[in-house]
Amino acid sequence: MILFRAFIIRNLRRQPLRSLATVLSLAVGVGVVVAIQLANVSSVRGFSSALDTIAGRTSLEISTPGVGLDEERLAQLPWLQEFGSVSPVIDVDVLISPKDNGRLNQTPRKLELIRLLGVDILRDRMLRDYFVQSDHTEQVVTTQRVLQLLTDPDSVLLTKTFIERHGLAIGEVVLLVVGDRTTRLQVNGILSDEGVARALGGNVALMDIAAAQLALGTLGRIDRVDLVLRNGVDLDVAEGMISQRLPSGLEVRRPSTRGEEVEQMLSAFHFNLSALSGIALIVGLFLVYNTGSVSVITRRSEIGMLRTIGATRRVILGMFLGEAAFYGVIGCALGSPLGWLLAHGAVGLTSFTVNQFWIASAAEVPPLDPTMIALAFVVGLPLVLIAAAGPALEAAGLVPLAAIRGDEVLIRRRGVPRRFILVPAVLFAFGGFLAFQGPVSGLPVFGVLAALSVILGTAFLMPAILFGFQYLWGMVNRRWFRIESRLAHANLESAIPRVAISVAALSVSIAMMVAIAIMVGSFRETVDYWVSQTLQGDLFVSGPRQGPISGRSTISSESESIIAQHPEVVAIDGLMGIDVPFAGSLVVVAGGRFAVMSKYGSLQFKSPADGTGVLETAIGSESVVVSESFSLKYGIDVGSVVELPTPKGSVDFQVVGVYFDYSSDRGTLVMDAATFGRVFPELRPAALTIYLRPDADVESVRDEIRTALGSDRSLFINTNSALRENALSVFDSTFSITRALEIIAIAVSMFGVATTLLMLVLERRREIAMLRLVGADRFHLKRMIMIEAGALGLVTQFVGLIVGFVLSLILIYVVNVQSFGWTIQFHLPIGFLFQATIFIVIMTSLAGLYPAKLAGRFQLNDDHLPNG
Amino acid sequence: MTVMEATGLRKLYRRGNTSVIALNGLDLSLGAGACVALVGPSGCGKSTLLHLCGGMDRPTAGEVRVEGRPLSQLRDDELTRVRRERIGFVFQSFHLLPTLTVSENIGLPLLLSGETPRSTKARVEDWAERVGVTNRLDHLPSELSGGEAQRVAIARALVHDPVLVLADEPTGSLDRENGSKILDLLKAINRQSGVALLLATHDAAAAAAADQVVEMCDGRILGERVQDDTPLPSDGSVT
Repeated sequence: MILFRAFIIRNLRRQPLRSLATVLSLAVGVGVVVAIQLANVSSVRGFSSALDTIAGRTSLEISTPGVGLDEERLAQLPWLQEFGSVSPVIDVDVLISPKDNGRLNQTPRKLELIRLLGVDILRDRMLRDYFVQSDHTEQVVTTQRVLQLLTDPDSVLLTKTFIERHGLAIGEVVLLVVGDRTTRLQVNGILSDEGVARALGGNVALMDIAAAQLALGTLGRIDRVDLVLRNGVDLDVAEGMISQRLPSGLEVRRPSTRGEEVEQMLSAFHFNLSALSGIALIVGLFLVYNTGSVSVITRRSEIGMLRTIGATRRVILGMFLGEAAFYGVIGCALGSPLGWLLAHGAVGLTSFTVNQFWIASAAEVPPLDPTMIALAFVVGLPLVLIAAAGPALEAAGLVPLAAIRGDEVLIRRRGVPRRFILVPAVLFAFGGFLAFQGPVSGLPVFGVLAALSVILGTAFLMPAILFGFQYLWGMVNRRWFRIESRLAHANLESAIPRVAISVAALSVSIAMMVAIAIMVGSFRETVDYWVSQTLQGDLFVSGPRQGPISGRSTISSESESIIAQHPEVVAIDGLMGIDVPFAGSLVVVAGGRFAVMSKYGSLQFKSPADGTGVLETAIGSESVVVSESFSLKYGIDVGSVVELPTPKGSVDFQVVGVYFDYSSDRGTLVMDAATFGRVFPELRPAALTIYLRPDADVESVRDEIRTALGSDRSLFINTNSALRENALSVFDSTFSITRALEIIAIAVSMFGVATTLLMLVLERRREIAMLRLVGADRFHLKRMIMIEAGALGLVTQFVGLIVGFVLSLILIYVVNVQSFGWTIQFHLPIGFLFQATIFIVIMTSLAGLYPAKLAGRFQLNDDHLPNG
Repeated sequence: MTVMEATGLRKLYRRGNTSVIALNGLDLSLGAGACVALVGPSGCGKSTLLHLCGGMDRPTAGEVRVEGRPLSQLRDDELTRVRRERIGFVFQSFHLLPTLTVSENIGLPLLLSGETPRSTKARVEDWAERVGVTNRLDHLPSELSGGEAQRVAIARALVHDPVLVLADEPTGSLDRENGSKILDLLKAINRQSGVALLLATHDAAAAAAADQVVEMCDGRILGERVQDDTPLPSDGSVT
């Protein structure tokens, strides 16, 4: 311990810059992992916690999943009272405008997503707690008074948080927007921030169930029947018995099942984010290895002396592992709160994607609990020790006399040890093998491991790459370059074992950036092509809520008939959808007008080639076309039969086609609208595609339809080009998180290169002093260091481009297909890669600025001058 | 003609709260072709005097002139140029750059002056031949013996035709035989090229090779003697 304190801790204090750099890099690496875990947890937790809060004391719920049920069916369920108290519920996300402020279709930003609960308050109080105030006096009123407050069909109760946030008062009017329907509601009471009002950050509205049906335009329909079991009734037993007695088309489920389905639905997205966040940690670990190596190399003579006077190999090993553990503990301790801070940014970036494609969720970063702190240590510390094991073993293996003499230090080597060729060869081969393995539970585990093998192989190959680069540089040097370049070349050659790790870390970061750029670029090109081929309509009509087509945001038949009356309109297709549980996850079951689609549309089919013919034969029949992601995820192809839960019980559908769909990875089944209306309750379309006469002026028709619809209908009409732009901008936003992670990884590794160069300069102080003695001026030295930095930038970018290309193939053809079920056409974003190359070389040269400045500043004083 | 002249040199080192006087008012002058040995016990100021004469460090007081130019008045880049073009250095531990080959080490002052490897090739080979390392030109310093490394250091100190060579314990890391050869080499070069040689040494044999011996103690010159053929005491002591 004394030895550890004297040899390691004091040395850390003597090298504050290096210690700080290592700890910070590690903290950022661990922090990014923690941040992504927190962001992942928060997106599901936001949903689950809202689910739990709104479920209240509900034990079981009865419905046709995704569809709800007809009120009349309640007459078939009086026996449910034998098990406990029941309450029919409307539970739906709607948009609300806190102020009645004019044209809705001009002010989409003033609309806020809110959960509308429609209940029979007398029945529902057995399941949920409501604390209602009729004014701002904090006085909670009786249930009877609540009943009075809700009697008026225009009455709504809002939470105290929501009311205060928007400066509302009792008696004021808010607008409820569902699809193209707008209802004015009066705020008649305040829900105290307890019970259900705590869900979704206070974005909860309470109405009487009949009033809610009226506002939603779904008279006679409810979402589900909630049941709280009587004391002493066993949940499993009750669930089994109820399941047996329920009429066809209804199912009994626990409220938590919906959370589990959402978790399953998001698992691939979360898995990929976690894998990506690991890159930042790997870069941090490279730097730990680097610091350990430099620590050993610069203190060889001290280690030799310790060994000479009796320190065993085990003691030396323990000291250097202890040093790494010391860094690890501080890095992990700092990484946890840093991750929590970073998570706030990550949630902002991921929740957009989650809300856009999967669920409406008020994601909030959970507090930093001991589990997350433990995660930081459990993930970080063992990896730190593994990273430090190499240098520590090297220190323990030093021959005392050679170490004291300083043999093998700063010596130009004339070859690459064979292990630096063999190990990478094995890792690359192993990576190739893994890339051809299938998914594990729908997750691309082997794909990620294949990418990891390539990354590790690259790291091991780096000394050989640097030797090769040095050889080429040496040949060029002899012919054209001046002394600074020759000195830089010689310096780097001697420092290969030391710089290899930093260069590997930066190369891996660049490779990931390149791989993601190629993947995103390819994906974007594919989506762009797909959008241009698929979107054949002239105008597109939708409600104000962006996101999945499923839900209540529907367009009324009145609106559709107004549109249909326009003389330039030749056909209208409508797309409606619902969320249906399938194989433990949620898929979208949609209805479309196949007759219109086959005549005017242009759905891109994967199989069979003749998609139009398929649509024509499927009109009115119990046949579906499925998206590629559905086909790949569930192993279902043309000819398969899928069984779907419907209000009439399970119904089998024949799969007649597989089409390309990049709008969602959830998996979509589309049937003809007539079939949809027959099997599921009548549901209006959530979006309309309008086909105009070929010579129609699209902009004018849009304006005329908008005028005809009037300002009260909250409908948005986009032209074809506007919708394409919108689709691509949504696409770009979904990848902002990947870019943020990459920037962090590159910044950390850039930091690594700067500190490595700095260490090399400090280590070469005597040599630099010698150069000054024999006549090198500051500019010679500055140029020398800058050339070293630039050369490192060049070689890292070169390696990054090649490895990035290989990784992009794994991402596109393995990870993406296994995670999301999308076929992406390979596309090389040459312009971006060229810009990135210039940027990286400039940035690494800049990373050499401070070390260069420092080298130029060395004064020839007694400390640096040769003695003797 | 005077090549180097030091007048009233003082050098004070501050280490925390204490000050150490390394040189305490010292005068020394070297003419062209002179060969002067500085002798004295460790810490007497020999190395400090060499550092100041070579413009590697600045005096606390006094002045050093090289070919009449006062070093204290030169900017850093001017001082660097004087070192690069007019002075050569030889050290006990050779201090070759380990990452450069022998030929690159020898030619380094010329390359730093902006010359190309092609233009320096003849002079490098000439000096390599004169010091006897022609067969080692493509080797790295780690592949040389101590004597060979010091020969390379001497070639590097002379390749740019300096007027003054400062040698700090040039034989300190060598055995007697190699030390003797190095001294012969330095002396021969001093005689042939007329370069002034200022030598700091503990080695009696090295001191004996000089034309003039300057004895130092506590930062001052105790005495000087011009040597003819009078041999030094056989035990090798100078002071």
